[in-house]
Amino acid sequence: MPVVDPDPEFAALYNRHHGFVWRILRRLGVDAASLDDATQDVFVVVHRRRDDLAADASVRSWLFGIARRVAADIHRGQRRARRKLEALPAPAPSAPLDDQVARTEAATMVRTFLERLDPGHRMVFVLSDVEGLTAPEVATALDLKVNTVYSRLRNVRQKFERAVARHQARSKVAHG
Amino acid sequence: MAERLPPELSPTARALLDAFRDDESPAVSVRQRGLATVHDRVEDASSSASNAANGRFYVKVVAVTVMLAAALLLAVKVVGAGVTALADRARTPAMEAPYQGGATAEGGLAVAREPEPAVRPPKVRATTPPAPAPMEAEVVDPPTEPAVAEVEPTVQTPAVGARRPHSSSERTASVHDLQAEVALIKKATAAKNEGRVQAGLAALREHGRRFAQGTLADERQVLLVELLCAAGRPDEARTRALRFLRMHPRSALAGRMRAACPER
Repeated sequence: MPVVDPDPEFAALYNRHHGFVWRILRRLGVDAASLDDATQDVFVVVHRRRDDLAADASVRSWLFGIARRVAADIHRGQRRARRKLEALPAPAPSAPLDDQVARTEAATMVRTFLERLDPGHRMVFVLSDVEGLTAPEVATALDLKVNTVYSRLRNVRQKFERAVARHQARSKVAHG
Repeated sequence: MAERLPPELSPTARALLDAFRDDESPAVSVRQRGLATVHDRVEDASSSASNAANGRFYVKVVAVTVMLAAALLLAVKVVGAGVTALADRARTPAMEAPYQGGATAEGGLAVAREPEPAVRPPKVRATTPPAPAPMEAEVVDPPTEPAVAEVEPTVQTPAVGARRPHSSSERTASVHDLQAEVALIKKATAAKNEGRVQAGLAALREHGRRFAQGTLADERQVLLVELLCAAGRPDEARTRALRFLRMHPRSALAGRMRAACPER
């Protein structure tokens, strides 16, 4: 019964950050079949411990810490999760539209790029340029110095720009 | 340290990252479904982790137990003292004592008597207001239920949980009232299960009239929502459910209330 919302403050926090938690868990290697449950796990912890969040702390840095622990728990039970996933029927492919194709192509390019990065640089780039955290927030979430965040970000952005240029060149060749 | 800031991404690169972000994001339906599940999980966890979270529920259980124990003790005491002697004394005119604060007989039991005015009003039991004929409510029910306010009591009647019973007669009356409450709730539940919606609503209406703040008032609210939903009045049912959950977010009945009238 969606009209019932006994805790509007929590619901607002949930709605604001659900996408962030979902994507971070995905980046942390949680498989697609477990993403929904894992996101709920994070918010159950958030609900229990929201009083622990300091007034001046970044919510997303705090959420990232919880998500990382939840993801670690899930990885420990990965084998069982994989068995579950294999038991599921494969989803029926939907007919792609042009913009969906373009979006999927772009997403695939970025995903491939991220997979080639080392984990330390990858998470800095994801938190900063995909999720929009500030450098101090990224530093807090990953327990790094701010200058280290800047340094990694500069490095990855340069690599990403080169990868984008290559992707565009290939697209021109492919589509005339 | 502006010179240490990394260069901004080009618009093309930014667009690719935005597309990637959209592609990785969950659907809105996933988010909405997840919130309901999180609420349920939080509620389940809190109810199993802490008895205190369900204070009202446990107070009711304790109250019922205490009242039943009190009734049992009272019965033993009355038998032990000699029911016959007590009844005889109660029937003796001399019992109308030289002073007005004595005891009187009511149904064979000694009952404390309040000081009375010179002209006595007809005697009415404190905790059992005159009830309608047993099936009256069902018989006079119109085909379409009137506003739910009808189910709520319009006449203020003393309720079981309103005050702590002091005298033995009050305790006995409380136990009787509780039994009556249970019977009405069971009647409404049976009617709901058998699809007799109007009969169920009539039973709840009677419960509301006789036991406005009764021990099973919350159970009445949940059944009312379920029956209103079954009667084809989902808007009214959901409004009531929402109000209940606002007032009792941690009630043991909150989960059942939330599922009482799902949207089709």
